[in-house]
Amino acid sequence: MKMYDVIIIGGGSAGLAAALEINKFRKSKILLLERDAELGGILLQCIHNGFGLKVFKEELTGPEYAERFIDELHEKGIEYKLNSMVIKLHPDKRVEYANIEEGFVTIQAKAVILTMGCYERSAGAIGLPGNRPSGVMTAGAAQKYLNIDGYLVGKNVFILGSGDIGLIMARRMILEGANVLGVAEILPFSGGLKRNIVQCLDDYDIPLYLSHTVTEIKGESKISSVVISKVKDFVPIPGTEIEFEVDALLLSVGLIPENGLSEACGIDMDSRTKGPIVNESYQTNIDGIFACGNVLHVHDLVDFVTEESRRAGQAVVKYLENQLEKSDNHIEMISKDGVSYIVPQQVNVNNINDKLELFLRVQKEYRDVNLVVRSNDTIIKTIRKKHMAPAEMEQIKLKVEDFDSVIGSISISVEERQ
Amino acid sequence: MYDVIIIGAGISGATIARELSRYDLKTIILDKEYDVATEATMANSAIIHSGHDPLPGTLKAKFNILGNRMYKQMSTELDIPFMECGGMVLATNKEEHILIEELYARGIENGLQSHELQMLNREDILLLEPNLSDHVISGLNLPTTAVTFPWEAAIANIENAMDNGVELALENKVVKIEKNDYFTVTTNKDVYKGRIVINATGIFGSDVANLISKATFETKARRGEYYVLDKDVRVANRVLYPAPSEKGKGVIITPQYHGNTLLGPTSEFVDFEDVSKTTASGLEYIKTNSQKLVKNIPFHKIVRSFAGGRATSSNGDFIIEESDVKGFINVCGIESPGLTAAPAIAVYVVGEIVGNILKLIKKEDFSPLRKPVVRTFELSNDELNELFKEDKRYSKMICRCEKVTEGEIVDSINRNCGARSIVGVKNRSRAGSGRCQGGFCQSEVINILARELNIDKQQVVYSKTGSEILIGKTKGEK
Amino acid sequence: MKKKLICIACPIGCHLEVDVENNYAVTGNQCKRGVVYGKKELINPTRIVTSTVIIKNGIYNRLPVKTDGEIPKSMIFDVMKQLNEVVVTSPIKMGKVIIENVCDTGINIVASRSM
Repeated sequence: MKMYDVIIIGGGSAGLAAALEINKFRKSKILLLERDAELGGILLQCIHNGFGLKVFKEELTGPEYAERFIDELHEKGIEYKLNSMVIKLHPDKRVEYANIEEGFVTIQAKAVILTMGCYERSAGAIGLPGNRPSGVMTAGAAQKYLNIDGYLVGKNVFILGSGDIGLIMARRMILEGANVLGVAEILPFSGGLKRNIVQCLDDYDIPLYLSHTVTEIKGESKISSVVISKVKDFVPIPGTEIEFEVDALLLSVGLIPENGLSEACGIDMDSRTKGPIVNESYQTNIDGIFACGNVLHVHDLVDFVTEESRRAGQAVVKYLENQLEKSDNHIEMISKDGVSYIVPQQVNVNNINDKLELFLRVQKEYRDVNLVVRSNDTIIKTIRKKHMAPAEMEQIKLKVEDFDSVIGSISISVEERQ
Repeated sequence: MYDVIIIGAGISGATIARELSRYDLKTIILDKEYDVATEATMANSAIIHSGHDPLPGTLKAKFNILGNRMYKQMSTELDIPFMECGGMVLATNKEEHILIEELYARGIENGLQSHELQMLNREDILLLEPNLSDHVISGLNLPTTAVTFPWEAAIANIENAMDNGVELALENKVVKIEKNDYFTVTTNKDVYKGRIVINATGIFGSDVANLISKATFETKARRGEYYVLDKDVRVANRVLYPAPSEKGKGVIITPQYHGNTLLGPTSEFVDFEDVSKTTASGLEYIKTNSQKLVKNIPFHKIVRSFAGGRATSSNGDFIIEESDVKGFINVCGIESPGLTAAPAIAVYVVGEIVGNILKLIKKEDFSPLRKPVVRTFELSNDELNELFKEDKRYSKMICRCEKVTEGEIVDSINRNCGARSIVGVKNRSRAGSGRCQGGFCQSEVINILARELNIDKQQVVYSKTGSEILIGKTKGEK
Repeated sequence: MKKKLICIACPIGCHLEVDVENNYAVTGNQCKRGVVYGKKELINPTRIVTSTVIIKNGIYNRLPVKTDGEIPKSMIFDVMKQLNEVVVTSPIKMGKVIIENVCDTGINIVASRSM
């Protein structure tokens, strides 16, 4: 059985950054396993710009962002395998994969990093009422057909869900000659970035129907029309139906971390993030198995994925050097009023160098509030926030000293300003 | 001239076709759809019922018990998934407890042996089903209940029938049936002549029967809606039925062979055109009712919902008889437990009805075996590497959620009764059945279908004619 | 006359008010880029365009491309038309100019990946 220091499962933005970061700090035998024919992951089909503002201080397209990392990986001579699908991960860090050169192979690692990314919620998962004709697909699937293969999936398109992929695809379909009849969002606000509403919808006069959802899909072999209705408390209001004749309905209704391998391996999951529960070192409950990027929690910007994966890479270096303290005595991070989740979920202070970066999402849109960090009744930190929304990930930095008075747990809540 | 023309390629037509293929007969199956097994066979609970439910003396009771006892052998011969998980009817109050005691008596009367059904109390059930809801007070244990994979059961029967000489003509909707010395069956495409016609057209049973003479029955469509849970959660270890009501067997929790869990069905009479439509209310009904039997159902793990129609006949029982037109055989109203009963119905139809009209001569070269199907998830790495040595495509993973290789997909296309559409591939190989529902692998499946069928990618259909996914190229490219 | 805009210079999306008569004075911005965006958006709105062109002998059939700067918003569809005329052949390096001075905008179309 072949031995590696680190096996990284997934060659997208997270896997690439983690591999490079480990290589930067420690000469290690690294293997990056990628199931697709190329490295880069979903960035390769995200041909729009807007990537890299934080990491490279310039605005790049997805393929450009990926290529910078891929070039560096080649330069550093880090080993990777393409078209190689990991079938199984064992708690003892054996990894089984398959490809057409080697067949089914088992290898052993000292540490494993999970960087499998996420997948799109499908039409099946949201139980759309009506028939199941063709022409109903996720925005990401349509994006791949359009940007990589050069095919259109519809000429008259409606989009359900105002997540960024849906908005981006609205513009792409228009530019490539399709009509986009509208975007429906069940919530009273968009799940996408405001700039995307402006430059993807408003620029092309595409109507956005807030508080609306699809209430019927019509069509036998191919979708012929879609009916949307206004909703109140998520319940459609009769009499508000609008019907659009379409040949495609694209769904942008959420991303879900891809944790089939992790769950089968016995890794503890967070029901809110749908990703593994990790500690300050991005280590899961299984010793030596780490997770970062969208497999851990869905990020808004690839730049955040890169930064998180670099931190995870640094932690893996420490793990390989036996510098990570093993202890069950950790601080629990608790999401209180208005906070939907916090990553990492557990903290061992002794493994923090100087500061810890926490990521969280809030449950709804807030204006002029405070994010308050407490341990028991003691306020550790208060951060003033002009604006927060579920679509925008929040970041809090805690210094090592901030933990001095912490006992047992830390809670974070959204609070009115006094 | 055919000896037998079967109309309808659902589970009934499929098992009858295979049974006929044992004999020296020229047989063809006609179906109006693009693929076989697209209606009731596609949308049902996948259960091989034990025979506790049908009223004694009915054809449903008779063929249910017989069919249940034939399933294992048929599944072995045809390599159809078959999971002997058992089943249980659960009571959540005193009235329901009395009902399941009646079911016990009914089961015995139908011919079940005492080891084939037992009454259990809550404590006993909890040992078997740890997720049991707090409402359940007692249950009727049915160890001979099993789970199959219904469309594969139909596909495998037709494939084996075709291996033994039966013909299949899809996209042939029967529009006219006449009889002189023989039957002339006219479809939208062609004309077929035959000595015997078997009407196995499910919800369209009475419509097709009426083409030749006024049917003595009427078939109506009862819609059932379902939810499918992802395969990494196990809600129940066996089939869990609620106590029955006038609406049928109720919302059942069925573990599936591939690890998924099926929740459903609803039960409501609808127009034919609405049988495949899911509704918000129906799906809500399933959520509410399934929780009466078990707790902790992870509804966020739903990967799919679907609906389908089953054929209910006006007399409440199966209709399996020669009509007043000699040689025209109705196999209609085959609703639950029709999937279970199908192999037994086939033996009866062929042996007792067809055999009275035509002389049945056994074929020397009949093979009951279907070429085994590779299912990657069932195999060890050593076994997989043996396959890999013969054909590298068995190590190229296409469907990442369900672990389906290119080898399996190509095989599903190139068999008799092979896949011709994306859904056809999915129904045979499971590629695209997982949590991403083909989001990642559909484009690869299109490539494989185009290559194997030697057509352009834009001609590859999703489910039937007119359902192409790729409707044009960008950049003005032709 | 005051015009309301949402700034697209970065993901924050500030709600801007631009006073057209008062030399396009911008309020509601959180940084300087808002001032620039607010004025330009009303006088001469510009956008980056990203799309694809046909590529032969590549591992895929389309090569992603972008404008290497912002072009006038009104020219987007003219640029798209130009992209339909182009067929390139692999290998192509990221950054290679595919169309120089597209539609006389002074902006080039460049490859946004190597293939």
